[in-house]
Amino acid sequence: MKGIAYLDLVSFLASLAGIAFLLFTGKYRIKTDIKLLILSILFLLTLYYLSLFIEWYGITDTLDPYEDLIGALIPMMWIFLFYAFVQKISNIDLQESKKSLDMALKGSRAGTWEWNMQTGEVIYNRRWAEIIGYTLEELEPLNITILKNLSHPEDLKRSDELLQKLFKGEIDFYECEVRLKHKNGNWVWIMDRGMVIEQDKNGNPMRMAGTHIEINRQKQVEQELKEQIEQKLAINKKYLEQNKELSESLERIQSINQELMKAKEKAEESDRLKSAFLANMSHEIRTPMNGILGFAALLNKPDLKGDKQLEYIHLIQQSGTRMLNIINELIDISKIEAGQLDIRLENTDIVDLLHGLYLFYKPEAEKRGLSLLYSSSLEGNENHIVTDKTKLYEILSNLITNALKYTEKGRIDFGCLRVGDTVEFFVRDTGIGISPDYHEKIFERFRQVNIDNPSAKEGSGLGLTISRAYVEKLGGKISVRSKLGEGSVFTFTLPYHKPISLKQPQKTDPVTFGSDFGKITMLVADDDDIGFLYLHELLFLNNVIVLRARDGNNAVELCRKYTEIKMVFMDIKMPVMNGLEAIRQIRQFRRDLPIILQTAYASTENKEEALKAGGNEYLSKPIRQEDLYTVLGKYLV
Amino acid sequence: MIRDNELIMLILGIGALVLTLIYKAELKRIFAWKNLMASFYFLLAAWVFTVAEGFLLPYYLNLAEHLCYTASAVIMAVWCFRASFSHKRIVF
Repeated sequence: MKGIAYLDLVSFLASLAGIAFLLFTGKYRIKTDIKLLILSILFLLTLYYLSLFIEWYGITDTLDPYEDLIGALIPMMWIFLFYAFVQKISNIDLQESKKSLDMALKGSRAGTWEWNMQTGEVIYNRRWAEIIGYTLEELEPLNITILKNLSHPEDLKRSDELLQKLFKGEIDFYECEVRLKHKNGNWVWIMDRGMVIEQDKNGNPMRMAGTHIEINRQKQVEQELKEQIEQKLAINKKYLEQNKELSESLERIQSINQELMKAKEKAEESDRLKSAFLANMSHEIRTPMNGILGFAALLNKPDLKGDKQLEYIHLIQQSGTRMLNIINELIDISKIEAGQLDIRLENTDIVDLLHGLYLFYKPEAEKRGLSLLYSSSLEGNENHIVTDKTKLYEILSNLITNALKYTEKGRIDFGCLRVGDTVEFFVRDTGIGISPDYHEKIFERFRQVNIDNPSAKEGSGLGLTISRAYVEKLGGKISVRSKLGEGSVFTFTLPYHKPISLKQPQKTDPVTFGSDFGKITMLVADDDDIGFLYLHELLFLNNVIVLRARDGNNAVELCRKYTEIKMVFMDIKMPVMNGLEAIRQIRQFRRDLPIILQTAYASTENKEEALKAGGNEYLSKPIRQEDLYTVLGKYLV
Repeated sequence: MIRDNELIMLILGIGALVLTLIYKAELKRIFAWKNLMASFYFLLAAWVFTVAEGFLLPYYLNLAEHLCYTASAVIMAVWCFRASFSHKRIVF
């Protein structure tokens, strides 16, 4: 058992060494209370191990009571030691936490307050007072009234509202930007934050604590930012307006571009059409010229028989008429282009006009194996309207001519009917029809469906353009309904203007070829030999003595010299003195002398100017025999 | 045979053990805490052996008891030595 005794001796000595280390060595880093507890444990263990050694070594057996007491104290001392350690550690934590908090408060430069809501007393820290330029001593006694007195009235109201919400539990934290009066009189912006830290058993707030942080700089920055934002918003608004203007400009530019593109396309199309038109015109003029010149040359053949002669003459006349039509169309379109289209309103008998057209086109229709019909729903005096008879005739002529050109079999009917305040004319055929794509284009100038196609029908391509211009000038509208292969219906309306008087113009009895006027003398003033010869032949055949003047001056002299001159045919364009001036001079001594103007100037203006100068009638070249005889009948019979 | 004082020591020792388990996180912050705890656990083991030897293996458990006392005392002495000569704080 001495072995155990030696073990106890070692234990004793080790404990003793521990005591020695703690008491006599080291730097005494162990806190006193902890050290005392450890020393106590070591001391008790020393005694305990010593008693065990004594017992086991067999020195004495009487130490049991002390041994039991010491043995019970040892675990108790360990408990105290552990508890002391825990306490120590907790204290350290608490101190460190407090230190951190203090540092944080110092670092944040926050003022703190703690409000006892029962007494109204408030505990402020020094920083709180520093923010508003005071020391705590200057502000004593410290209570909530100080804060209220220093607060801006507007902020106080807002702050109270927030506090009420906090007390009612509507918000968890109180946070409000307030202004406090600085000692120097300025307002200091404060971020005031806080919360209820103690409540009574009814939940009523007892104490509040919080911080004050100066936010003057933030407020200044905020204000500057606000001003910058306002400036930027203003700039932005300006930019937006400019952007809008630019967008609008862009849209306008795009619109102009589109218009320019359209104009360009139209110009290109127009150019193309003009080229095609010129080619077509060349063809249309050369073709009748070919007939005229060709058959005129054939007439020179000495062995030509009478029938052949008549046939050639007829063909020459036909070609001449065709060429005259083309020239007339060209003149009409040039007037339309120049905006010089004149309207001569007169009482027009529509049924008479339709009948005339029917008679005129019937032979051509029969020749082509087509039925030609006309109809009118106008009855009695309704068939008289005030319009430009010539233009109406030309419109219908154009439409019927087109119908004849493009109808190979079937029928063509035309006519009119009353529709409200308008008269609607129509020309219907069973021809090849027109594709819907061309319903508008065919009314454009120089436009023929397939004008580029050499196989297109004869014609200038101006007929429908002229017709539309005439219709619109007369106050109406023209349109077409057509499908390919199903024929076409052209309709146009004219306003129904009832004539004031239905008095018919006086008709004169026309003279005819070969009438004898009884050896009368007439003067033909024309510098062109062919023009003179043509009139000479017509008049000579009627037993008229024909004098010739080659210029206006010569005409005036002859009229003055030969008083037997009964009628003058006066050309307008002549050398030395023109026809109009010659008329004016003749009128000075022969007021009653019939003077007939005959000229290639075919416009209405020319006609009006000529009549104004003193002319009695106006015949445009080429002079038709019928027109000449009508004039002769009017003044000589 | 169990002696009353040995049983009291054991019960109080277990109480201290419970305390060390509850506050283990805090006690870990003691300088060389494993060393200190080892000393305590050897002491506690000695108290367990001294109670147990009343029931079985009295010789060996008695020997184990005293070996544990010695180990506890030596480890405690080492802890005291280290704590005394260390530059670190005893509680972190």
